[in-house]
Amino acid sequence: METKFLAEISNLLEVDISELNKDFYLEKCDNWSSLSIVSTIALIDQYFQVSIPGREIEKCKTFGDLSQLIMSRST
Amino acid sequence: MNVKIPNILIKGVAGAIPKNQLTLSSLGDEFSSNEVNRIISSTGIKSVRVGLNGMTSADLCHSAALNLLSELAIVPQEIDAIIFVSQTPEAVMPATSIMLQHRLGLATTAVAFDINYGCSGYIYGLYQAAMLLNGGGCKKVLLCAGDVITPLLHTDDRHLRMVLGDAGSATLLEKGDNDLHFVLRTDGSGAKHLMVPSTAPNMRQYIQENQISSPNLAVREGYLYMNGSEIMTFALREVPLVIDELLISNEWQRDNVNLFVLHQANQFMLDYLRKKLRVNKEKVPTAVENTGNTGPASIPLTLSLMNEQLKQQSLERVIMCGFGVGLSWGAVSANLTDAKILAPIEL
Repeated sequence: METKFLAEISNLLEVDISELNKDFYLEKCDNWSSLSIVSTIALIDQYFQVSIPGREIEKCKTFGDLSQLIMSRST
Repeated sequence: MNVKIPNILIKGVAGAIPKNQLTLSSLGDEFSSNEVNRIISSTGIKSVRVGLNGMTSADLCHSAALNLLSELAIVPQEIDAIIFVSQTPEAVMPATSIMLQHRLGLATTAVAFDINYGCSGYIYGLYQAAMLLNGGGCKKVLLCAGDVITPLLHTDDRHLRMVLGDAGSATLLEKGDNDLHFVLRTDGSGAKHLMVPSTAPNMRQYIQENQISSPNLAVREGYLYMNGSEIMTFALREVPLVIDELLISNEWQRDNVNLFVLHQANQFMLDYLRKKLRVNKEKVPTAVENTGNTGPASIPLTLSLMNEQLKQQSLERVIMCGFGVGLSWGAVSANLTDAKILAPIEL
């Protein structure tokens, strides 16, 4: 996954980029809120040119789920 | 809808805002200060204006209109039509535009219309005004656009309270030499994403059928509800498309456009839209820091807030674009060279 995108997400969630592995629990992250989901929609649109509705992003429990969702839509 | 309306002049634009400011950092006592700071940093909004003591959208638009007519040396009797674009009218009936006709001293021969629109409303108001001028019955049309939305925000809804503010505006259009080219869109399937639900039984059924709720977003009758992520997805998808269509229709290159004045949703959304539009930061002004998102007033208020800066640059090719509740969105290309743009007045 593009490093710039990972850097933006880690900045958004205020976690170290090294923590963003597939098992990273979005649900347990304090900064995974409706605001960060809106930001994530925009970041995905910017880096992958794909529009994923917030309701689908909200279902992602881990960063692995989110990565898989993006990959399934951007191919 | 894609339509060019010829022989229109936008003669002047004025804004009006309440003096009273809600400084968002003060909400740190009420909500978590960490979250408040995160929202401020993302939206770019540090304070919003909140009308007090029963101030209404009509009050703000009335003041903006008086200021504009005075500066343009136009007497109210010269106005043939008044359009009021707002979601916060004076009363359920009669139309607020009719009340403003009397309050502003317009002739009884004037016609008056209300348009119940939000963030896309300024574009629809310009469209209605241009049609009235083009139809031959009117020589001068006054467009008032504004909302006092803050009474519709629930005290617990920190996100909306930290984004939306009150403002009014007035724009004078008359016959002239320029074209206004419009691209307009409507999609009522998205009504559920941004609304003030009423207590009507069929509205309760609509909410139930459309499952309008989520763990973080309460739906409360009589208060504004917004699903921010759906609105973001909608704006990123649709705004660049209507602007591209407008560029093609006008045979304009995006580099030759002097200014893109977009609805001022928040800094964050404007930044992403600008990136999608692939235009320089200087061409997409943001004026949210001390006023927030002011709904139908946001485009004219941005012009009004930037009035000094705009005197230094060409405004021959300007694109304005509004998007939001409805869902409804639209863009217009205009020549604002001869428009007198006034600084906002405070009430």
